[in-house]
Amino acid sequence: MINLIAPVLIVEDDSFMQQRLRLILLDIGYADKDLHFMGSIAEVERLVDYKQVALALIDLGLPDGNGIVLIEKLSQIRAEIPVLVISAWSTENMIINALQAGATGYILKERDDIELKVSIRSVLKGGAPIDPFIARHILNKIPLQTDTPAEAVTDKAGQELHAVNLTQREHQILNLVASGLSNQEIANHIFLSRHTVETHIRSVYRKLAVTNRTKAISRAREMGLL
Amino acid sequence: MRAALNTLLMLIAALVLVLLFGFLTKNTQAQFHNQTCSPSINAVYAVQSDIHSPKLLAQADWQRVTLPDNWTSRWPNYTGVVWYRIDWQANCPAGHQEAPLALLVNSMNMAGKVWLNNQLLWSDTNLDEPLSRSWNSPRFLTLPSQSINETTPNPLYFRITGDVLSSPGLGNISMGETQYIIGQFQEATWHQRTIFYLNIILSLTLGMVCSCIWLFRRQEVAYGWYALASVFWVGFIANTLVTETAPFRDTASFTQFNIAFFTIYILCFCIFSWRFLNKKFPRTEKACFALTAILITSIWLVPSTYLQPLLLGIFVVSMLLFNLNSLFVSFLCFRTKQLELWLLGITLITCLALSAISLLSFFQLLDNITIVLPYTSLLFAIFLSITLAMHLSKSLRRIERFNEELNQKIIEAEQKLAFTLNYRHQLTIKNHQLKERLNLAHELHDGLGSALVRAMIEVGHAKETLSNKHTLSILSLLRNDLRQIIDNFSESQTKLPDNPIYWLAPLRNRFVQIFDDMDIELQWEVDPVWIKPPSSLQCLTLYRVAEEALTNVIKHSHARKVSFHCVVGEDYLELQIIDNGIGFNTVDIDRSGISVGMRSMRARIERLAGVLEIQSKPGETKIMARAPYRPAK
Repeated sequence: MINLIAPVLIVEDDSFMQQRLRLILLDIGYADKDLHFMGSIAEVERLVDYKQVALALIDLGLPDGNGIVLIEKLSQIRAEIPVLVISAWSTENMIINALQAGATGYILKERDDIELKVSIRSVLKGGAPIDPFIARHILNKIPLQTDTPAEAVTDKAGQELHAVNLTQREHQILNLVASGLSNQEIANHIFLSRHTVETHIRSVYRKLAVTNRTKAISRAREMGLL
Repeated sequence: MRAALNTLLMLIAALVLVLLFGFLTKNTQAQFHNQTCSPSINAVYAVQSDIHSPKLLAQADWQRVTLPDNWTSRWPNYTGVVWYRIDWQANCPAGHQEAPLALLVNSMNMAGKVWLNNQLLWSDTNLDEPLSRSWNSPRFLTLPSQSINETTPNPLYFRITGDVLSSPGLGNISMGETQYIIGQFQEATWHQRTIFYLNIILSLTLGMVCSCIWLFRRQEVAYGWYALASVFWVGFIANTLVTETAPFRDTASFTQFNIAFFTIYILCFCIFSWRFLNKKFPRTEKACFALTAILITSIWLVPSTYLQPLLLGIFVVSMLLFNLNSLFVSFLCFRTKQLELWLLGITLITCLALSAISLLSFFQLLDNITIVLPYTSLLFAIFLSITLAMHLSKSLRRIERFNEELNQKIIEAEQKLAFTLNYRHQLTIKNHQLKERLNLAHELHDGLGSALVRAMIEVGHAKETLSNKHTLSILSLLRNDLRQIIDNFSESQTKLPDNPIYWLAPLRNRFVQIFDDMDIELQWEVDPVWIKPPSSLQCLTLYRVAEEALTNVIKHSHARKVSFHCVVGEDYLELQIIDNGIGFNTVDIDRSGISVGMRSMRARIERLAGVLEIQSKPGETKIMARAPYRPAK
């Protein structure tokens, strides 16, 4: 059954949209006390202890800046928690940037309530939502692992090595995603559990974030900041 | 090429230096003479030999002559042997009997034999035709003291074989102490031999340089003519150095050829000088060619009795031609302002002076003038060296300047091109933006605008207040239309997806999650490849139909099972959406929100000349949308 992870941080400046999200979350089974609504980045900075957050829904277009800033901070402090982007526009660049910053999924404001509910529920179930266009983007961006040792990048702790190339399995899964199959269908198709498939997808997301970080590091080096 | 030319020029310069050095040093040699014996010539006599026994010394009819002697003035038209007798005395002071005496003979024209008191001193190789040529070879002969009678006159006998055409006779002789005579002999050798050798070497070198220039650049005609002139000049001047008439038959034919060479040389030189000035005188040139041809043929056609005056005439005419031309050309040269032409003018004027001097000495109007004609080659060596150097540096400068200009022009062209391209690029971007904006406006007007108008009509003409649900579906239709227009203008949507599966993948992904959540079984079948590329309008419309149909299934049908088919036909694209829900009837359509979307879709499909079929009964609702590839307008 659904595991209602709480507390939930919702950063959304529009009051109608806040109301709508509240109703959807209540409908899913949350209680009012689990939901913390914030209207701006400044408010979040002032009032929220990132360590307490278990699930976050963050709007990108906030009055005092881009929500991506919050996603980056949150994913640095609590990398494991699900972060959903609430987006008014589905421009690919914006969504990919959010995913690279550490988001685990996104929902479009314009969709019907039922769709939003499905998206949130799937995250709560531990699923890893992924869209065909994202899959295609990743396939273009991250090369397939070859026999030679993959390019390895040390993360900031310097302990873990992330191979930033795609494994054969990840490549296969992304191809299926690009054809429009759901995670369950992919699991059936390649005889794995849905859980395993979603683990792979999360790994791919991490790699996307790593490529982003690598890019950031090399850019910082170029600029002389490191 | 450049280096080779420089080397040649340096060689020429070196030769010129050698020549100058020789000229300056020749007079300083053998200046001293310790005249202990002072031989004196008492008288010189000449006599024609007996026709029947030319080899025997004639005894009678000795005539007194002076040296140098040309016997044609005494015996015109006489070709044969002449004897000369020179009576002289040693005049040695007492006690100097052992003093060696020597004899210098400047020329014997042509071949000769010399005796002193019946002792043979010298004999040329060939005393019969073809004769040896001693006319320009100074001979140094030692007078053996035992043959000299110190008190009485000593007769020296010369037997000279000569031809009337070549001024036959005996040249100057001198006698004295060996040391003294050696000095004179060396001077004579310089004037009569060395200078001509140098002339020939210089002429050949210049000729070779010029002919090479002409061979590599045929448009340099002047150099070609100069090379030709050099060849004939060498042919003419070799006359002074050759010691045997052979291989010519006899002295007369040698002289004929010699004069012919000279005539051709003059012609070639004239044409060279005109070409150097970049001038052509077609009529004059033709006349010169004709004249030369006539003169040369006349040399061999005229009877031998008239040959001598004829050859003399030809020589004089050629010289006159040369001098006239030199005057004319140097006049032309001095009218220009080009340095090289001035040089040519100066060279020609100097040549004119030299040739005038040598002509005068030829007719013996000026005595004791050393032969100066050979120095013309020196002048020409200097002239050509300077001219070639100037040409070389001028062309190199031109090439360098040309390169500079070329580079400058290339840079200018590049800048202009960059500017033009940039401008055009900006223009293209602007045009493109304008076009895109126009397209967006059109799209908004046609798509969203018409949908809005329809919605307004629907609301305005409603007989009763519309339900929230109805209003909501109208608004959501408008929202979805807007989304589509925006997607259509985002980059990824402008291109046709690779295959139908990718085309419908976003739709599938979106709905499969919802159906999954709602426990609705979804069967999804899409043909894997395009047969023909569909138009973007076709794709968009069908995509919207599918979206609306699937939304309806979620909202209204209560279905447990949905199947979706996309058929790629030869002439059309077809979508089938079948569900096992409760279905609806046409009456319901109007009242519920279902109708809003589907009616709008039907209108759109029909605009594409396609069909939208809806069959509905409880347990099965089937929506089929088909659009042909080329919609009729």
